[in-house]
Amino acid sequence: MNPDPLTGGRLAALFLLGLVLFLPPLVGLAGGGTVFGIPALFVSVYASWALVILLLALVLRRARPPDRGEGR
Amino acid sequence: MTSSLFVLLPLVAYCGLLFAVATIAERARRRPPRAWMYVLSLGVYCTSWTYYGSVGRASARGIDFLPIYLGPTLVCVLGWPLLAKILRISKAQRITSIADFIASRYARSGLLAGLVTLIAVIGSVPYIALQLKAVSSSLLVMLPPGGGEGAVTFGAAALLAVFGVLFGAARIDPDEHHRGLVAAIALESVVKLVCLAAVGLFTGLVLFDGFGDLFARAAALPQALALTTLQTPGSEWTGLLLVSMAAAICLPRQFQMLVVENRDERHLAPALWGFPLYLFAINLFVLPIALAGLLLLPKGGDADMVVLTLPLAAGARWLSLLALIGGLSAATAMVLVESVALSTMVCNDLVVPVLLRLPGRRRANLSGVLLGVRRAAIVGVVLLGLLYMRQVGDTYALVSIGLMSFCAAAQFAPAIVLGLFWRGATRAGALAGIASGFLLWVWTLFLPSLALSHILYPGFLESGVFGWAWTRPYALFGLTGLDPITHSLFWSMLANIGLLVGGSVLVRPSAFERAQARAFVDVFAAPADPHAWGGAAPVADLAALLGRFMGPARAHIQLQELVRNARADPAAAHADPAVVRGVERLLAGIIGGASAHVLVASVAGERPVAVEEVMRIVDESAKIREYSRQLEEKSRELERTTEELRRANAILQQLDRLKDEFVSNVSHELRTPLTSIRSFSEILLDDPDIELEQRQQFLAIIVRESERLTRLITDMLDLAKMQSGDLHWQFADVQLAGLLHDAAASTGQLFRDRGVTLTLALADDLPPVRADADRITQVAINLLSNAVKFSPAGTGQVRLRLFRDNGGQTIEVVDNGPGIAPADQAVIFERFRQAGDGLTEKPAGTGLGLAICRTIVERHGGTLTVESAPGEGATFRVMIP
Repeated sequence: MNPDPLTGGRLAALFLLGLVLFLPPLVGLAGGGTVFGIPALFVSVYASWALVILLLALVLRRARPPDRGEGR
Repeated sequence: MTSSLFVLLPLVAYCGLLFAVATIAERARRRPPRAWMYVLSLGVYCTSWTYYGSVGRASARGIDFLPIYLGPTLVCVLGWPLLAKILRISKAQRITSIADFIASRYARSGLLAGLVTLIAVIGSVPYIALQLKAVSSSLLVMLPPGGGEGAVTFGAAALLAVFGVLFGAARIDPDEHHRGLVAAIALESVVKLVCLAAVGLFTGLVLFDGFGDLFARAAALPQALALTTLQTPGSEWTGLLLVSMAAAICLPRQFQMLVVENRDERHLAPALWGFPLYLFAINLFVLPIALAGLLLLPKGGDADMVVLTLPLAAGARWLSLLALIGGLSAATAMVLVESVALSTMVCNDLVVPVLLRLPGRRRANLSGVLLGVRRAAIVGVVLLGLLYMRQVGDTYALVSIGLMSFCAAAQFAPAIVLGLFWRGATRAGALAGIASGFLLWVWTLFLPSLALSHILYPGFLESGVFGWAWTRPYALFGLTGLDPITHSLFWSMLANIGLLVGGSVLVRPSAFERAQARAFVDVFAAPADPHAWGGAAPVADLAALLGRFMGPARAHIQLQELVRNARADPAAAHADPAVVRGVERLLAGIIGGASAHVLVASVAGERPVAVEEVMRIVDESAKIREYSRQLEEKSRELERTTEELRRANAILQQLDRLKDEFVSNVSHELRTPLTSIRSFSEILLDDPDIELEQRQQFLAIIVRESERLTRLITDMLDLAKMQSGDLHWQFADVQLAGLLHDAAASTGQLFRDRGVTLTLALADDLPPVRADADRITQVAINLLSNAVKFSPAGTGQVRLRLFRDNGGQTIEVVDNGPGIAPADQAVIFERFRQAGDGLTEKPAGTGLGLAICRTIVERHGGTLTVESAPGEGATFRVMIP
């Protein structure tokens, strides 16, 4: 039921990436330091979140919408 | 503090603005729907919980407010297979709510729809209470003291209920799209985002010298510094992420906005990244605001209200008013959509089924009743929230209350997700799974919340019921070490998924259930509507049915449109199946699929387990049977062919062997006379002095052997001609007796030479037969010569008989020779085969005689057989028809 196998595969990969980034142990890996004066933990979580959204938007903008009869 | 008027006037103005936007959007029905409006309306996910609660949570625990937004982001990544499918199904089935969706998947089960509705209502009560608490708390912060806490809370509840009624239950619409509501929610999403961002920017840029300064000063405060590392246990973080993933779809209001209010499937793609982006944006300033609250505000204040108190403490009255309006946006949006969703469910899945069962109600016009039910449901839900908030609200922070609702909504996720991708998920499994998950939620989260607020006796938290330690709600079956949310999620999901799968594999589904399962799982492949109405439905009855829910005039118009669309006969007394389906869809839009199904069934006669479905099942199995039949036939054919091939091969091998034998026999037969001719010729040539007498003797041998050679070659040519069909046969009516007399005469000399007696017993009164006289004579001569050859010299007795047999005439040649062993009887008719051991007995003939005889007789359509026993002579029998 995926629109096309390529998009399906990309989304699946992105989902796995998101799981890894958003779940422990990676999510809490950044310790106490700062990046540009902002606590590293905040930067790492927000940056990985932004990355996933950006990739998602890129994948979806290239995808064809799902249509009846395509794939099973 | 500020004056009441300063606070209330802008609020009233804001409410007026919302109404105006909603009304304009409702009027502009013809305008195509906008993708951005759909995307923004999904922002209803962010409620007071996000607006006030996140800051409160972040003030105490740092970044762990975020999994609640990361989960929906991940769901959006999966959105294409998951949400696109839900959308397509909902359009095809005219889904009006999440209860409708789940019930439709599982055989339109009214029981399941009711159960889901009940859980949704109970599960939403804490959530609505959360909004009420936030609104009343925020008003209490802003209003001058002394207004009376109860009055403010009640006023907030009344405001939200009125909003819900006005936006969500203004009238009954069969397509269940609330354009005005969507527009208002989209506006509110913008408002709350702008307001929170304004407070955030004010905090960073006005209260501090940029965000760097803010973080630097926070680093100096131990309490704030602690927030910059992850304090949350991994299990809790994971639990929050998972529960929010489920909630992003399963919360009644999310389902309402995401699925029911979606008017164009193409809007899904931008929503899938736009919604996470919105979540990202609205959460951007949470941490700075929380840290600023810790740095600037006095300890002991309500952390949940920092968004308001921070600008207020800084003297920015207008900004705090803006923040208040943003908070109100967040709360009203949630209550509006939630109450619309819940009232639809309560009306369609709880009240209508009961109404339909009441006697006398079936004939009444129900459209007014439905509207009343919905409005009452909205007010009721808000009142329940108010009640819960009054009793429990003070015990919990905003986020903790909301999470409880998330867990309740998550109970729908297994039935939805498995139902979308696994055809085998059944009604029994879904009922058992959802019910068990809900009961465990009640035990591990809901009842404890009442106990902690001393509505229930709190002792059971410590010791369980009846002193059974394993029943403790926060440590069920002795499971400790998890926070209450994760603990509850674990047990309820374990039971939910386990029973869903178990029930599905144990209970056999009905045909209709399987049809619905297929309509859901294969929605992208199968035609949209899985069932056809079999019975004949009178148009008048359908019109009456529709009229009861939308008024006779509109019903008439809708019905005419359906008939037109279906290209059916407008004057027909009985409706076209397509029209009946259309009526069911219209009704489903008003009262939900399960009830619509029952109603239309009452008019269209017996149930629809669709002939189509039955036919399809029959078809499928017939196809399979046909296929296997073909396979069997093929394999039988193959076996037959193989057997034939094997036989042919055996015959070929036999023929090959015979040919080899023949060739070797022929060469042997030819070489024997040739050898003697050659040797005697050489003797004569080499020795000129040989005596005349001996010379004569030698020459006689040469002549005899040459004759034998000639005979052999003649016989072979004869046989070859006969067998290849080249021989010219001359058939005529002949008297066999005459022929046999001739043959006996020709062979008389042989008999006399050998001293063998020949006796004739020929019936001469027989009718002529059609035969080749020369050939038959040849056969007789051959047989007689053979008989002479094998009879003992001097005492031999040969009898030649001719008599009428059944169906023809038979010639018999009987001798009293040594006889033929049974093993040899079959082979003597083959070429060069003579009975006995060819090495010790000199062959007395060419070995072709009997083969020639049999060929001749068979050419006449007769048979040549032999009967013999060793030592008792032999009988050759020729039967000519």
